[in-house]
Amino acid sequence: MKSTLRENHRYIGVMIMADGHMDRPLLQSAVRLGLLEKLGEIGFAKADPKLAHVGHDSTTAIIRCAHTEAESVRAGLSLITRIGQKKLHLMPVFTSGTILKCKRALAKASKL
Amino acid sequence: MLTDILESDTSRLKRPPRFYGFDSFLQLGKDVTIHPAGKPKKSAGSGPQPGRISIVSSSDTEELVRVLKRFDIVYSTIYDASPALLTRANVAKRKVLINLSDILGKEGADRAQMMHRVSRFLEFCRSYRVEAVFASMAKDESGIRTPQETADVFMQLGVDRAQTRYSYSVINDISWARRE
Repeated sequence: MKSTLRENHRYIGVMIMADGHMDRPLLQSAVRLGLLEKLGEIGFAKADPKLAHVGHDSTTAIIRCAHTEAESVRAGLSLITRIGQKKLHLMPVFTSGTILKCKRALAKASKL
Repeated sequence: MLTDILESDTSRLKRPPRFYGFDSFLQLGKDVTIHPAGKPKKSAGSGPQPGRISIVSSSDTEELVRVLKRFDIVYSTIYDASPALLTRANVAKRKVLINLSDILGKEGADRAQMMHRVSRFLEFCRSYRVEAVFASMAKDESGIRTPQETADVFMQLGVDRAQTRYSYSVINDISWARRE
């Protein structure tokens, strides 16, 4: 495959602030449904957001998306306020091109 | 210095303002007071109090135009992009409030409509050279949004990052002026 045809991603590290415990399936549905509502079907298709990683204590997560749509995904994440009856805030902390850098930044931010 | 106004008790927050990207938080009722416009003058707390930032709020633009000179910040709850209001605010050097909980507290089409109103209002503010003050007015910690998050949202509405950061710093300048 030509290097110009390769998909470029951005990894958005988020801090999870929720009322109770957030497990992976619940978080996945929050991201999918929340972003689908905020970006619309066409925006969601362009951004192709995926939950790439969830921290072991479910306080951090990494969301992968298309590099061109990182800004709109971050805006969409900021507008998510609840999943079902639970209050939820996904605070974007760091955006990077590699998942490793994102994990390091999240580890630093969660120490604050 | 980036400052946010919260409706909740700032001393009960689990995390410091630095975690949310702010230097300090101001508390509604303690450091900042909102005065509904059009209330009788004799009622308690209807006018600005010394040492506190005073905000006048109303959905009635004519009423706001009439009283805005007495207060530091004007809050049109319907974000009415009225040239009369903004011309008067510019002449009196008053700021306008953008309350983020007006956006976050709504869902679906109502939220989209409110975002449109806010973006149109901000467009008018730029045109009439009136400074805007951003405040989350969060009732709990989940309602606080960092300056970066606010910038991400407002970037989609035509406000750049520097403008958003500036709008968060304006409240601090007013606060210092009040203390002096």
